[in-house]
Amino acid sequence: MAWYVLAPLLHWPIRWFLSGMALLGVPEFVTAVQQTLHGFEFLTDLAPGSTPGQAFRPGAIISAEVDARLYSYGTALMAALTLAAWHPKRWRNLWYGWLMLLPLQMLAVFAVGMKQILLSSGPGVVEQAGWAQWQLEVIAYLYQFSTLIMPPVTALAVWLILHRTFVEKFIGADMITLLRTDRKTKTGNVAPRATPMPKRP
Amino acid sequence: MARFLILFLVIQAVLFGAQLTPWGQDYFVTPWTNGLAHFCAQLVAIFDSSAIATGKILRSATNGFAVSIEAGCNGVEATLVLVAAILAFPSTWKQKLWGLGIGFLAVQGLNVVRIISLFYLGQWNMTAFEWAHLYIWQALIMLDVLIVWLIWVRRINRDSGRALPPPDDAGTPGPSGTATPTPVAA
Repeated sequence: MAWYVLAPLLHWPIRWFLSGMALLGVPEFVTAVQQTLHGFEFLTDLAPGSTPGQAFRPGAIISAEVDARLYSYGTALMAALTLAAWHPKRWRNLWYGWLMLLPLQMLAVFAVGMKQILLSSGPGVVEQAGWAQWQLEVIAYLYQFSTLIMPPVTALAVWLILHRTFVEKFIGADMITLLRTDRKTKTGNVAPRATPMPKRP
Repeated sequence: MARFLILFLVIQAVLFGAQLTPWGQDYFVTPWTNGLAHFCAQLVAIFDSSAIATGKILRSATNGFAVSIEAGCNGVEATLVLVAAILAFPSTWKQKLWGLGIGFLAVQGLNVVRIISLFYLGQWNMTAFEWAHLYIWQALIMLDVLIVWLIWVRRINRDSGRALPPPDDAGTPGPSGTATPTPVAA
């Protein structure tokens, strides 16, 4: 609930980043990015093109609105887990976790905005943008990944990184050692599970 | 650690990309999603005979409310994350197989609870439905994946521990160990 209320504030850095990109002309057709209550609006200089059955006023431009909460709710998940773990430096971890999640949330919002502009606005818009097919495929993949997997998985990954000791207590082993030991097992240097039983006399 | 991370990301990206292809959708995702809708309808029918499934849609014949099981709600992505995490973690194939089997059941079992709970939440209150659908259940399913994976890692770590007890002062394994004694340095 706190995240839901604070979302517009937590989204500020994303706005600065996306606005900065627009100012630098990346991508070239985005003229500005405005923050709305729940997300962002991408303004472009692309015309809607001709769509059968639809008429647009002269000078109409394409814009896309993205509900950023759908891609930033991982912050709430990370915060809940961090507070539940009750680490002595939980407030520092909350801060670091939010900072670590921000670039991924920026990427997700950007991918969703590009998907709406380039893949949902008709072929006329894609022609004006002049993006190659592979670029459109990357945007489609990023959109799907950002929508379906990225928000919760990145939140859990960040939490794991910041609470390695907590997790290792649960597992009962040092994670790095576990990974290294097992890798040696595979190469045959140290093989606790693979070593045969010594023959008894 | 780097090897695990790279393998995890590569396996996940490949599996996720594969299920997005037309072939993956036609032969795997769509039949799975339709089957899931029918399974949920049959489960709900035990106590509510008004539930019917048509394709990937679960509908109430009483009030007409319906939920469509779309990508992200069929548990496929969560399962793929778990598959990638288990395959990437160094372990034997036997351990991977039982981890995948139990993990699949855990993720899909919770996903069935998600679909049925959303089906009834939507009939009760759309705001609650939206909240649960967009935020709560998405996070809970992935948390389920993390918990299953951690329990699996703990279990295989215990298995390894039983196979190789801590070495004694001379550097040789304990009496119940299965490892060959290591030579003592001169």
